[in-house]
Amino acid sequence: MNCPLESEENSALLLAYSSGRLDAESAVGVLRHLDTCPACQSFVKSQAAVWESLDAWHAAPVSVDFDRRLYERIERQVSWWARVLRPVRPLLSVQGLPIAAAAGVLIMAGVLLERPTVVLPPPTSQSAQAETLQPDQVQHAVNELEMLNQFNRLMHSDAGDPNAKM
Amino acid sequence: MASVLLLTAWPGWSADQKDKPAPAAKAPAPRNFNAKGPKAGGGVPKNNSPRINNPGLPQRLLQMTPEERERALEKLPPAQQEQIRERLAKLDALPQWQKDQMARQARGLDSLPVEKRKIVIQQLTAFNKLPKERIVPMRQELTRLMKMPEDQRNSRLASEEFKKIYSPEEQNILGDLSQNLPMDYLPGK
Amino acid sequence: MDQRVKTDMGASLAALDYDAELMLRVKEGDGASFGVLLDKHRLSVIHFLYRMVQNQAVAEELGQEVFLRVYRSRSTYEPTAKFTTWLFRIATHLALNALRDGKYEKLQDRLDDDSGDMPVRQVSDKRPNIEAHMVYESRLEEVRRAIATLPEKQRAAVLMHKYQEMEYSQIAKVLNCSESAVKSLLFRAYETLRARLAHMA
Repeated sequence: MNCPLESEENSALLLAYSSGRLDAESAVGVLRHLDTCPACQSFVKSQAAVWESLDAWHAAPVSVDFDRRLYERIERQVSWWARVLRPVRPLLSVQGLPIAAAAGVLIMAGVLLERPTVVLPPPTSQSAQAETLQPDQVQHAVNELEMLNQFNRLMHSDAGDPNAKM
Repeated sequence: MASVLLLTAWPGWSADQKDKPAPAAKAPAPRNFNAKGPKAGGGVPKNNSPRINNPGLPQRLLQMTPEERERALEKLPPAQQEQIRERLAKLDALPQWQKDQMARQARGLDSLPVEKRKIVIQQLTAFNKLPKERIVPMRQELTRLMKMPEDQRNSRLASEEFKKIYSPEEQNILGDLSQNLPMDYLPGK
Repeated sequence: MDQRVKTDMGASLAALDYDAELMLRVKEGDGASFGVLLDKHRLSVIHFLYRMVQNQAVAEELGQEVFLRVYRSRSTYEPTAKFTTWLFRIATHLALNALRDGKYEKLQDRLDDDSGDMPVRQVSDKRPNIEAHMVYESRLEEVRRAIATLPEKQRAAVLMHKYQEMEYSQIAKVLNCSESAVKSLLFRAYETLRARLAHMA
């Protein structure tokens, strides 16, 4: 193996080694080379410092209302389209294409002038109304809820009798 | 001309499409890919029977109106319907914040890959069955582990001290859960 | 213990298909699956954006846009690549645009501030004393500056390689370039980072 300073390929090999992503066989080869190459030893050592530094860079928690704001934005977009298209729909079925085209131009103008602010109803549980649930699925879901409830009770610091059933 | 205007008057779609990332280099779509149900082949787990795990169902069950729930249960055998109703009634009686927490946690489980999900559920169940006197130390250790950065946690899990304090089964529970549970499984999160 | 939870090839494939499968359910109108995808990828996307633009508020705004676009594209979604490839392509595209537009020009200035924008949760909060805390914050600042000095594409490549643990091939698909181009990007980026951060060993 040549020294990493001589090629990107070998540098990639040492990067993989120092991040623990190299397969065992290749890692043995690299390790053997490191025993005899001060340049690569230095590379691995300084790269390890980079990994450690990057590891220490944690990102902040996400705002608690992130999801709510996202769904509001989604809602705004869909409702805007529904409102805009409602008056135009009859025109689209009329043979007079120029009318539809003119409406299209107006829509285009509206879009260019103002970002959509209408809201799309967020995903709801409406799908549950129509879905056919298998008995096993329901059983499994209820089991899961009970398991989570029990776990939460045990994890709460002032749980009374930890083994009390529901 | 009118046709061109009409086409250009579909700005919503064009805006969406304009910013849509260019598709990847032409690679064939995964074979046998079907959102309606699993098929054999490809990377989808080979399972020709209906999926037992229905993502989102736990939280949907919690959030359904009584009418929706009745419609969802009506196809089940009557004896099972009654049993499920009773169990759901107990869950319904929980404070809203606890129900919200369970819904979030259920979604967290859904987000895990299949194998990890299985292991996490297995270990949550094992945690729930711990002897009474082991709950407090296990709870405390799990909380500590989950708050640690990964390398510190790995060191702790591999340490001799840790192995002395906890049985092999407890070590597995703590290791699997601390490495895979989202933070909102901790109290107050 | 680690073996059982380690993501092996089979689990990776299952994860690949699982995300894409969820997205196909979203395409079919299943909103709950969008929620699952959001839960699963929210943090990684926003953290990636944060490290790109180094401003939490901007990162969240861009993060909103990412998921908005995912949702808007649901009707035309086709799983021609890993879901995360597509997701991070959107995120990278938005981040690069934001940086190039100069809309967030003051990002660089914030590096000089005692910015309240700095992440509040880092490692364990049980720092023994104020001096250790200051050393810690100073190191963090060096890391942020080092990343901020990288050209945008190098920065994106490093962040995906390090924090998302993406392979070169996936980074190449996200950045729409060849694998050898990704290797070059990473080679130069890590060279810069070693020069700036090796003394912290």
